[in-house]
Order: sequence, then structure tokens, then C-alpha cells
Amino acid sequence: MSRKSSPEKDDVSIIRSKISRRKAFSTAAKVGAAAGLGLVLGGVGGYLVSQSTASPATVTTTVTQTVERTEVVTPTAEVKLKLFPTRDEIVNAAKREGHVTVVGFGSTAEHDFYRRMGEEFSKRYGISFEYQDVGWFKAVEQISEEKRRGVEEGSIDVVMIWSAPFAEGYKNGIWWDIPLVDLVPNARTGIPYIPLYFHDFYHSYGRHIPILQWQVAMLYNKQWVNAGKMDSPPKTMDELMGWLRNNKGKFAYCDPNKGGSGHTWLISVAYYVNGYDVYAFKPFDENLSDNLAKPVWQYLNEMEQYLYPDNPYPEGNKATIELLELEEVGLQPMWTSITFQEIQAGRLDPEIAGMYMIDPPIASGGFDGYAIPFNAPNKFAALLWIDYMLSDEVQRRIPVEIGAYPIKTDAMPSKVTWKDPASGKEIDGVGVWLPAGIDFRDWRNPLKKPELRFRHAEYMFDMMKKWITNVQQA
Amino acid sequence: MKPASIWRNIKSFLYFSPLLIFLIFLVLWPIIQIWYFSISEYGLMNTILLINPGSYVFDSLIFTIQVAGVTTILSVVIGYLIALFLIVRKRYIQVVVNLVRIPLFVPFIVIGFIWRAVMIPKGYGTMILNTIIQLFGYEGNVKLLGTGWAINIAHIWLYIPIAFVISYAALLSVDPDLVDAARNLGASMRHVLAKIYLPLTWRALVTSASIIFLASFVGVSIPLIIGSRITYFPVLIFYTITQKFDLAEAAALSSIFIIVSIFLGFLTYILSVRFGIGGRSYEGREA
Repeated sequence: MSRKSSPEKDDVSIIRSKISRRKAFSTAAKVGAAAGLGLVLGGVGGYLVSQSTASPATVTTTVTQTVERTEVVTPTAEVKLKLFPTRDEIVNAAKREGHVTVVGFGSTAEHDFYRRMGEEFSKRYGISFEYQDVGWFKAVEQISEEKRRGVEEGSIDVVMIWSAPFAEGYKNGIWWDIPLVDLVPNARTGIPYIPLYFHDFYHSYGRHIPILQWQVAMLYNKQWVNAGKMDSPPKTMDELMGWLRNNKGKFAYCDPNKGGSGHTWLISVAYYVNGYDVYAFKPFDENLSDNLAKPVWQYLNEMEQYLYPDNPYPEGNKATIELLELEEVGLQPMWTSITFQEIQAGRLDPEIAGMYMIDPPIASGGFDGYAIPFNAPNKFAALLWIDYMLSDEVQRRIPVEIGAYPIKTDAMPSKVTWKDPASGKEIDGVGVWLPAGIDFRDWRNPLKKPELRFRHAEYMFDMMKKWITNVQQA
Repeated sequence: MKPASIWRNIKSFLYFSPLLIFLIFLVLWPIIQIWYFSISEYGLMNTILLINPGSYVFDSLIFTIQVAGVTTILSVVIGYLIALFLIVRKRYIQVVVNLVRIPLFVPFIVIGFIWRAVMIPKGYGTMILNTIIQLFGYEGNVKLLGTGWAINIAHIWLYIPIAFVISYAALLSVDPDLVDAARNLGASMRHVLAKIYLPLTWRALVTSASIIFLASFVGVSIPLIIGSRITYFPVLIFYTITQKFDLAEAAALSSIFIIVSIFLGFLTYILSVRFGIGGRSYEGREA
């Protein structure tokens, strides 16, 4: 290959060649002119875009919407908004809006459930329904950004959300600041008082309406017990340590930082060790938290020697239940909903799954529900959707279709069953994915024992962080 | 400074300004925002304290670097050897090239689930591994999930094609006459590898190593699905948001991660430049 014709040589000669002054000026002038033109075009385009978001393109639509809003949604009208509107009033206003966009989160089975409910809602009220399974994080991010930019009309009407992001969002003013619990007819009765106004001990001020109760209970392998491979699981927390000693390596709990069953178990152990009243409704104090956590670490460290040796703290809810499905462990704290969804998916044999509640009961894993963004475009349709989700007919389906408890106490069916398509057998949910050993109605009654315990999120988060150094790495 | 050189600087700046503006707004600005949020909300001292030796964040960082390092070395070696095998044997090239490239077309999430299914206790991978171990007279009760090796296996499977493609291109550019001449003069294949192939393809090895290391280091989906007892650093950031919604701590962790990534990226760049210049090229020898 001759050096003259080599491509490297050509590149070098191009780089080294001098550009004439005239050529340089001409190029600079072209670049400058192009940049200037770009800025002008960009500015005009940006102006037009901002104008178009400020007011809808079609004049007719703008007029129609303004008239509708001045009646019910604009700040002037909010003053006149009735605190206890009838369902008919909400339905009429919602039908005028004609659409609702709901953001949800959860497993595939849960998304499917919300979609099914959405289709039925749409059929009943003639309101178009859009379900976005993008999750709470994206919704909160979007609404926060809209709040920052002062966007008065957003695109999301309802967000399904859990405690911490709801509380953070409320602090930042991203939720519709009106007591939803007084606006939604179905929220006025039948929901326990505490979840109506608190969420994991954050104040929700009635701006968040719970729709269900997630629950962690003890999942065990029934067949192992029947075959004598494992003792009957402990009925009380007092019996747990002794049981672990006698059944070494058969228990594992989810890493608290990687799955909700883990951190709900962690706070429940803290309640057992220190007492529930020490935490309930108390403001968070880090020093107190550290002192209270010491005996908890001691308890959990003592427990560690008896855990499943190969992976005592599996990485997430799924990894934890997988160990029971594979018959590697025989007992674990697990979500009722995940247990049911694993049975539905055919990964967990209902013949081996046994679910019961230990005494004192594991804290409720949160009462997730809905909040309405401050700039929701269809607020009445949003209220109607929440009302629909709180109706008895939907509430009754929650334990049967996603394996959680309904928020409305009276909506809990007396019998929860599921037909296994593989065997054709009808399976009773209590004792398989809903815990045996607890009377649901009495549990919800604050005057009866055992009490329904709620998670204290701030103590729980503090313990989750410190669990790593005090238990996992200790 | 002469007016001509000032003008030349202005001119260069004008030429590069669109690129600079692009980089500032789309790359630097979000990073600066994260750092600002981290310092204003979490505090500089608290951020520094997070990476105290012995802390879980420090352990996570070291674990992630170790896993990414092992992935890099093994992927590069395996990818290079496959490429070398094809160059030397000159058979089934099309079939092997197509097969090796398959992982490039599989979504990360799917790769995570495939390997998770293989490596769970009683999964095919675990059973085969334990059977092999038992053949050597040991107990054979190895559990891969939860260890860094599980992430290594999935990442190596994913990144071998990158190492292979880069190495294969570099090996193709080696003049076969050189190899033939060496072989005619009695050089063994080991000598040909050490004296011809490796000196002429160092650059490709270091380039693929730097790409794979950074890709493995920042990977989140596969370590998230496969899981590990010590949390992989990007997964730690993910959990800090999704399990605790602690945005300030997540920003602090992200700041640490970005600084470490930039440092490691710079280090690999320096290495590749050093090897690129120091390694003798075929063209250089001829010239």
C-alpha cells in the first residue's frame, strides 16, 4: 500500500490544510446566521407552544370547558362545593366531564383487576376510562413538575399511592386539598377510622382514601407438618424462638430493604419486643428509635442462627416465596396477596400452602388508596371512580381476585373461594392465602383484641436502614 | 496572545458551541441538579459519611466494583478466545457469529429472568453445577442465587458478544501473512498468540474491557431480578426510592455513584489511551 494513497495521509492533509481568511469569515458568518435563525425560530416556536398549552387550540372547546368548570371546579366554585354531595350530583358532574385517567401500581394481576374494574365502571356510567400502569413514582414526579411549573390542568385524575410518597406530596401541595372522605359517598361509612385519616401514621387529613388492606401473615408448608418433617408452626411470637430452635434452617424472612413483607415483619417484631403503644401515634424520635431498636437487634440476631442458612434474607418478596415453593423453607412471613397470586399463576401448590396469623398479629402492610392531583382535569369523574371502587360489589371482589382485604369491613365475604382450573377443585381461601386464626370483623373492632396494628413508617424506615449494619452485617 | 490566535479560539468555540450546548443541557445539567439536590437536602457531610469504610453503602460499592471487574475479565477473555478460534479454524464462522450475537437482541429483563430460573435452588443450572461438583467427590450443595457469581454469569452471557465483536474485528485486521510466516518458521500457536495476535490487538481488548466494565457497573435490571445479599449499587439506589421513598438519600447515593463512575470511566480511558499508544500496531511496524 503506497503511503500517498493511504486514508490516514488524506486525513492528515485535510486537518493540516490552512483555511483562507475569506473562507473563515464566510463560514463564521454562515454559522452565526444559522444560529441566529435557529434562535429566532426556536423562540417563535417556543412562544407558540407555550401559548398553545396555556389555552386549548379550539375556541369552542375552551368555552365549553370554562363554563363547566366555573360551576364546580374553579377556586370560586370550590367554596360553593357541597361537603356531602349526593351520588347523583357526583354522577351528573362526572358524566359532563366524561373521562377519567387512573394511575395504578402493583403486580400484573393487580393491574388486570383495576383494568377490569375500569371497563365495568365505563359501561355503567358511560365515562371513558384510561388506566396507566406507570406507577406512583412517575405520577408523583409528573404532578410535582406540573406544580412547579404552575400547570393548572394536568392529565392524571387519580393516583393510587402508598404512605410515604403521599405524605411527601401533600407537603409539596400536589394533591387536591379537600377532604375527599366527605365528598365520596361510599367513604362516609364502613371504613375504619384510623386508615381514613392516617396512613402508616402519616396524617392524610382525609385527602387520601384507602381502598384495601394489604396484609402479611405466616405462610407455611402444610405437607411438611403433616409428614412430620416440620413441627406445627408457632401460634404466638413467644413460641417462635423455640420453634426456630427445633426446626433449624426452615425459616427465612425477606430482606427488609428489598420487600414489603420484610419491613412489615421488622416493625412487627419491634412491636412485639417493645410493645405497640410505644410507637403508635408517637412522633418520630431518632434517639428513641435507636434505644428501642437495641433489643430488636438482639432478638433478630439470636434468630439468625436458626434461619435458612443459604439465604436467610432473600432479596425481595418474590425470592422469599420462591424458597417456600421450592420447598427449601417451611415458614415465612408473606403477603396474602402475593401468596394468592402465586397460587393463581400455578407456581405455589395450594395443597402445600397454609396461612395463619401469629399472635400478636403482624402489622397491617398499609392501606393503599387514591389521591386526586391538585390539577386533575376531571375531578368529579375521579370522585366517582373512587366511590365505585369503594362500592360493596367491588370491595367484595378484592379478597377473591387479588388476595387482599377490602377496606370496607362489611364487604368482606363470609366465604372466600377460588376454583383451581388445574384440579377443578374449589379452594377455601381462609387458611390458604388469607390467614386462619383471626376473626376479620373483631380484628377491625378497636374495642376487641387482638387489635389491628398499623405500621409506623418513620420508625420502620429508620430500622430498615440500621438493620443492615445491626443484623445483616453483624 | 496574538489577535489571530484569539480569533482562531473564538472560531473553534463557535464551531463547537452546538455540541457544548447539547452536552451542558442534556448531560451536565441533570448531573448538576442531582448533586445540588444531594448537597442541599442530604448534606455534604452526610453524603461523605455514607461511604465510610464498613458502611453498607461502602460494602455495596466495593461489591459492585468486584462483580463488574470479574464480569469484565471473563467476558473479554471468553469473547477474545471465541474470536481467535474462528480466525484460526476458519470454520462455521457464520453460524458461530450469529449464535454469539443472540444475547444482544434479548431484553435485559428477560435475561434476568432466564438466569434466575436457571440458578434458583433446584433450577437446572444449580443441579448441573452440583452434579459436576459431586463427580469430584464433594458434597455439591452450592447455591448461586444471592451471590455475586449469579450476577457475573448473567452479565458475562450478555457481554461476551460485545467482547467478541470488537476482538473479531481487530483480529480480522491482522495480516494473515504474518501468522503464516511465523507458522512456517516453526512458531507454535502459543507463540503466535503471544507475539503477533496479542500485541496487535491490545487496543481492542482494552476498549471492550472498558465498555463492558462500565456497562456492568451501571446495570440495574439484571442484578435487580437476580438479586444479591450485598445489594448491587444501582439496585440500592432503586430500593432507596421504591421501598423508602427517601429521595434525598437516593440523590446522595446517585452523586457518589456518578463520581465513582466518572473516575472509573476516566481510568479506563487513560488505560486504553496508554495501551493504544504503547501497543505496537501493524501499520506502525510497516512504516
